[in-house]
Amino acid sequence: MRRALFENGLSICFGALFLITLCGQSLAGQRTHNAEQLAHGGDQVSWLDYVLSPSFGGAVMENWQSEFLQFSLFILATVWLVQKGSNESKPLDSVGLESKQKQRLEGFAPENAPRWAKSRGFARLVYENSLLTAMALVFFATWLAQSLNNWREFNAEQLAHDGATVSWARYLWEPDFWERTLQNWQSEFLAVGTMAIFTVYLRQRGSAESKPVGAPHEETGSSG
Amino acid sequence: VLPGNAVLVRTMYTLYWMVIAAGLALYIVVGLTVE
Repeated sequence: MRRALFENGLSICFGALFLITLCGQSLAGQRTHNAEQLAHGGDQVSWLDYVLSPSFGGAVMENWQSEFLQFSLFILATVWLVQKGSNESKPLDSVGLESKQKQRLEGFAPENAPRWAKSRGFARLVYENSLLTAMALVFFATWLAQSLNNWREFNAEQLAHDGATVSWARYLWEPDFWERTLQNWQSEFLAVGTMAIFTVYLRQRGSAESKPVGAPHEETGSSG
Repeated sequence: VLPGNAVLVRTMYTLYWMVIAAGLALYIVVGLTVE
């Protein structure tokens, strides 16, 4: 059992951190929401009502979509773009989809390779793009969920201030939606770009996200 | 690799998908229904 926990440390640790911080967000969000209600003479809401509100749903989904966008773009971009000296980049001569031999496909697949890596048809096309496909699908679905929740919240505020409500399609053109979307995207792009260039010159001993401490600055993708 | 260890890897993979799917489904329903 201890061995099994050790072998799954990353997914267990980050899964637990996710659940703890999501609970913290919901509790802090409920307090903020109720404080605002108090100031404006509105009704207090229970924790469950707050968790099931578009206000919390929108806040959660807008952060989820930006994270999945970040990884989707990172997965796709690192097929075709490189950064000399970066741990986040492939070697400069490996740009593109790479050979069947290097990707261990078809006849080059080892005995214990995933079954679909050995196939030659549509199944392999699906499987060789499955990581990007999954991340991109979650991105688009969470972005949709964000838009629906933000739209409900937007209309509720419009009603509270005697403003006109808008359709969902119209809301997609509102600055409110794009401000919420782009504020998340910009931070993701900055973080990805920073990792791409910081790992050229900076190190963390022992981390899979860093080159070995003694690796020369011009060495590209030596632990990635 | 011991069979028991591979089981937890598969379980974690499934759990992550379940959390993502549950969150998505919940807030798509909330977004579609809550006035």
